[in-house]
Amino acid sequence: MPMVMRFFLLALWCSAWPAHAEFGKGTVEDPITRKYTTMEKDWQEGIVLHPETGNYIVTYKDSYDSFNSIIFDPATKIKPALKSKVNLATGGYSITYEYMLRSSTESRQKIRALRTGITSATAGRLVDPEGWRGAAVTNFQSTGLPILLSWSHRISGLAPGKSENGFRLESLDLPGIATMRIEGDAARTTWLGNAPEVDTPAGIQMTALKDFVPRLAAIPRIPNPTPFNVVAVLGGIQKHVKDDMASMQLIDPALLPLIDRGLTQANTAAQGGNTASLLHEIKNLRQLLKQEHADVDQDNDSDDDDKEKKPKPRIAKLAAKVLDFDLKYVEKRVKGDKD
Amino acid sequence: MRRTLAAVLFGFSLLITGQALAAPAGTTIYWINSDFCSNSCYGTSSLCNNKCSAGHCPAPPGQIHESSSLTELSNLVGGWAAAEGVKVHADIRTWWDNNPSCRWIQTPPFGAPECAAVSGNLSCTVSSTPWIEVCDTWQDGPRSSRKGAFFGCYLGQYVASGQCSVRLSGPGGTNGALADVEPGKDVGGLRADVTCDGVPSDKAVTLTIKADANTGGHNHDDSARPPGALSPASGTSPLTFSFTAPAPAGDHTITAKCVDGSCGEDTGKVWVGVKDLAPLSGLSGAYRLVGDNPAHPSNSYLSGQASQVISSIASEYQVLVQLDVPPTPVLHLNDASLERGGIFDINSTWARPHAEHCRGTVIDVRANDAAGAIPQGHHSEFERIVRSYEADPMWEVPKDSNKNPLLDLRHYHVRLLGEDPEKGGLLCPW
Repeated sequence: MPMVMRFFLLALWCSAWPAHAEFGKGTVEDPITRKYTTMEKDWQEGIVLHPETGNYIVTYKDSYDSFNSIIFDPATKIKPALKSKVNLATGGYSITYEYMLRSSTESRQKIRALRTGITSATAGRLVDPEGWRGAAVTNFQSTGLPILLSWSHRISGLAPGKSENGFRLESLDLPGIATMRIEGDAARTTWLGNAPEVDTPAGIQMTALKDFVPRLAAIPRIPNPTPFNVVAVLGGIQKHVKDDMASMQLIDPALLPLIDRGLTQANTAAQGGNTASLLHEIKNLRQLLKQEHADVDQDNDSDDDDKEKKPKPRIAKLAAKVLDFDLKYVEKRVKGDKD
Repeated sequence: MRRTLAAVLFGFSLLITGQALAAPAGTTIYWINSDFCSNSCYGTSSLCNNKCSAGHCPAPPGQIHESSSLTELSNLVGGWAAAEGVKVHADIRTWWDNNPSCRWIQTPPFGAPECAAVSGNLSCTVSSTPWIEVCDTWQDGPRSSRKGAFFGCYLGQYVASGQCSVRLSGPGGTNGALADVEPGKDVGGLRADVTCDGVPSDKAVTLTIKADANTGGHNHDDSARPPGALSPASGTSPLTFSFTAPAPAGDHTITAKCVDGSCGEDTGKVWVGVKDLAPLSGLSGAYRLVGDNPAHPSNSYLSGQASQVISSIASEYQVLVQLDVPPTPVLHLNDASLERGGIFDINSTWARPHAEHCRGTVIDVRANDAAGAIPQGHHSEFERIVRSYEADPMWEVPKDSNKNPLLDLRHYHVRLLGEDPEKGGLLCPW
């Protein structure tokens, strides 16, 4: 749901349900012991953070017209770090995507799952680390990218202070940037009666609650048709830069027009069959990225931004590396070099 | 002549070919032969011109006949009629009201050469051929381009001088309904119009509404079924009103009458329900449907997207457990939504509880101690599969009439399209 809509719903909720309590019968789940007690009292619908546990106390009236105060353990008690690595697969034009997940010692939950949407994945090329199960399934929802990618731990998850680096998939599609949703191993919530309905005070607040920790990752996102179509791919890269990277604030507004213009000129050259001009534009664009991040074309694991660098780069390093990879890929395909 | 004409047919310039079609037994057939073209009136007041006497419209003597058989009906419902773009209208009144430009038939070209060319008997049946028109081909273009055929069967009651009738109309809906509306929502643009001798009247009209028994997936009925509401429920013609649908889906019949009882009555239906729900097939080996009962015999209706999600989840789960020893049952799927959505009153009380089972986007999956339930050891795997489709496995415990938790009935309430109201379709407006 767009942030504006969330604020609107919250504002609506605040105006529609002024803080008032309602007397009635209900069940309370103890925040510590998790035992239930039935009582009659004044109930205030909504969600409240329990500072001692980091859980939420969700108070709602169910469809049986009785009240409940239930403990909701959010999947956000984690401090994950995620690294993306993108490479051309050996002997072809397919691309391998690999992720390294690390859980900080400050995490209070194990990491249970990571999820994102992608444009495609090569069948049979999804690799799971020991103890994890990957899935790339059709997205039947009405929004989002067409494939839902996830890895879930089979038992509990990645412990605090540990790391795992075997999350791998292959795709023909080129990398773009998206949010990887990382979830902690939260306890299952038992909803007495029913879960809060989405238009109730608690339901609105629950819907607004993000039950994951977001991290940016390089994922298959730019459609790469077979046979290769340089115009389509460049158009996809340009759209991703303008629509997605810009909205994620990964590119400085001053740099965005320069990249956009370069991609337009490259695409114009491609449409006109002017290979020399196309390669020239790609070279210029890659130089532009290198000016921002000197190691943008180097095969290292670091996509952390150089906080000490002055002046501050006008494009996030992960975005720069992804964009450089995409341009390098186009260059390689145009030259017909399969190495 | 103050009597009712159930049907009148009129026409000119037509070459009739085609074969005979037997009329249903007992059907009253009215037909006019070609000679009527030379007469001055077509038989109802609304179709008469100033050659008719005021207030009514006598049929030409000897030229309207009743018959138990006819020979040319097939020409009207098939054959040349389809080729000429002839349309059959189930509701002549709505068509008439919505096509004022077609009132050219009020001034038929009597004595036109086309009439002389008519041969054979021009017929229609009251029961099977409600209305046929080629108004557009006649009215548009130069005379030379006209198709030269117009046939109509006017099924409205012939109204003699001084008599009035009331008619309901609306924006249109499923199966000829006045309108379609979702449970709990409003639909406007409904009208009740009184006319006397074809002239609009301002007579006072009163409206009533009732829910039709055993519709909307509710195979139970009692006086407590909420009928919805009309607003306003009375007023002077033309009366424009709205209908607020109740929480249960189903057909709802509106009846309009004149307060003074002078205009008979008219009825129309409003279709209440959520569109595009379809039953989950009970034939899949990947799951088993449970929970249907005589009051709600069809409890597994879902939206197309939701069906795909649960089918995929069930298939994956089946693959996961198929090698289990002892065998693990496939998913046992309980209530989704009724055939038209709306409130799913599991206790046949027209009321909750059964939250969110209103739009074909959620389904309950058995996960307790009953036969076919997901074993405790597979709960986390089931949740993993569900979440991989961005669906939400909500672990719910129903309550009894004293509001005490019923642990034996715990289950997964799966929000198949997630919980975002913008895409989840979880909002039940009651």
